[in-house]
Amino acid sequence: MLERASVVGGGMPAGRRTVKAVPFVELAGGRVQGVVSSGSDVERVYVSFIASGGDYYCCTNNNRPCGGLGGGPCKHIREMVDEAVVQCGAARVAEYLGIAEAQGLDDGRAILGALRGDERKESPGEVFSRFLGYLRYCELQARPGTVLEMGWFAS
Amino acid sequence: MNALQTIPPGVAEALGLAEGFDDALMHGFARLGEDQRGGLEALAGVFDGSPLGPIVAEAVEAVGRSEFVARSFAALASARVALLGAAHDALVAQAREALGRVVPAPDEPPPSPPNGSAALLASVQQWLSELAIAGLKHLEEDSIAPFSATLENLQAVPEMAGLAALLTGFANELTRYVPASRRPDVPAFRWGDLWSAAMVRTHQSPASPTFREVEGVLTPLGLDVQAHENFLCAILYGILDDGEARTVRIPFSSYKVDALAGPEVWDLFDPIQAPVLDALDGHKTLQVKGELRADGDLILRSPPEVGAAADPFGAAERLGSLPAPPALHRHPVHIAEPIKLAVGHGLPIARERLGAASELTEAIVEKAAELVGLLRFDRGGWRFQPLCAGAKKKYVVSGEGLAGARKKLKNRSLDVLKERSGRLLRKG
Repeated sequence: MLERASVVGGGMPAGRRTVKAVPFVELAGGRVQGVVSSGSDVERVYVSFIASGGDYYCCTNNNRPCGGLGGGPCKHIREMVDEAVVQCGAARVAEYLGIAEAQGLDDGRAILGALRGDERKESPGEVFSRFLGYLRYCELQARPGTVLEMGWFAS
Repeated sequence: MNALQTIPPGVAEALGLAEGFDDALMHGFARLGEDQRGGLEALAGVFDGSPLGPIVAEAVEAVGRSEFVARSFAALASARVALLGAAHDALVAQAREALGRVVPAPDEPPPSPPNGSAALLASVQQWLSELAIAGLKHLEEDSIAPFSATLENLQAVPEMAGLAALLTGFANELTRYVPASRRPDVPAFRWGDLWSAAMVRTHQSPASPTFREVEGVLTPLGLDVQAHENFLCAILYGILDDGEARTVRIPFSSYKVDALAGPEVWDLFDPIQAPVLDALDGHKTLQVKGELRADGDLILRSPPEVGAAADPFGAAERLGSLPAPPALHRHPVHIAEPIKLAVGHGLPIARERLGAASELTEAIVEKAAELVGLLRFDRGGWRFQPLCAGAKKKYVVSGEGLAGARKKLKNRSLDVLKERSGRLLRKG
């Protein structure tokens, strides 16, 4: 019941993200994009995206393509979509990627299976700067005290 | 609480007039139909003869001629805020009469111009105006994404945290809903609240509250955690005894990344949070020292000490009201009147204000002989948000599970994020 409601419950993400495997994921600019840790090399980090319609790419931040891109999205992209599902819910991720019939698509594998796209080489710079922009929230300062405006945002 | 089964005369009408405005805001001022025009005229009509009357009437006429200037939208936002502010005052008066509490009107310093730069605030007004013209029900991602640069600049001003936190949560929420035209269930009243609250805050800020140093024993009554993806404001309600009993809020406010949530979020308040969460866990009091502000906030500058066993129900015999917010901030959503209730109180539970992980489950609240919590108003009626439920020897207090949950945390998200971004910066 939303009638005359100032506070609506259940607005927050359903699941709890773990940032170790996928430090960053977002739905922006018509894509699910993010930063994914390498499973084998602790030193390595990948920048990945999958766009509405299915085009995808994954590379290191030196713009070296991911070795797993063999004619289809690699496991980094799948892990990233899995995290997007935790963060936003499967229905929203599928809808955002332009999948018309999203029923039953509840994880990265199923969502990627419903998309047919091509590899589209792109520089990782934009996603990386979005990640840095996201990390700004760790540095921002607020003055101590009750922020009354948060009264609209029950957790 | 039979006295709170009804609401004061005029409140339902005020909410109805706000809804009329919200309908226009959802629809878009560029495509007003007869219904929306009627709603706006009714809004202007109620201000007839008041100081706001001429500017609201002028704004309604201007948007009716499809003249869309930020000034008109600011006038309409002020009208909605004033209506809800009046509803707030009537509701608070009703609640305090029912509770037998007399609260002197606070000595409010006059509001000041906002702290942000004029250009920055004009950018916010511009974006809010564009949303209104397009209609919140017709938004696309492209209506929201370009605002992020303005929002970043606003977030960088610590004094503007209230407006920035509000706009960040609002923009996040709008983004989650786009394309909103495909959703039958947009929260129109809530969005009307957020839009108009943001608009009026670009015009003035409340003055800083005065304060004095205090020292005493605090009996915690429970935590109220308010958060969206990028901001958290957790409030510990309590009774401070410094010779006299004072109902206070101990606030914990910070920006955050969305991945930081639940027990882990308390890393942001190290080291002050540890004894606070330990006291909740062990049902203990706190020996506190800090700055008591005229608005009811008790600001801790050093970690308090955990004290003896706490008796929240006993302490709640001495509960009082917190001061009303400044006029600009008055809205029924901010009513949080601390009260103690016995079983059979008859008020609906404000479950929407309790997170999924809340210790105060439905079963615990239902079975409780006594409850301490906050009297709230939403959805056209009074509601109750429990903070503490049970009886003297055996009770559950909101926030008591956090200290234990924090002991089980393994990786710290903040450390992982910083390490990972460092890798990206160095090599690929």
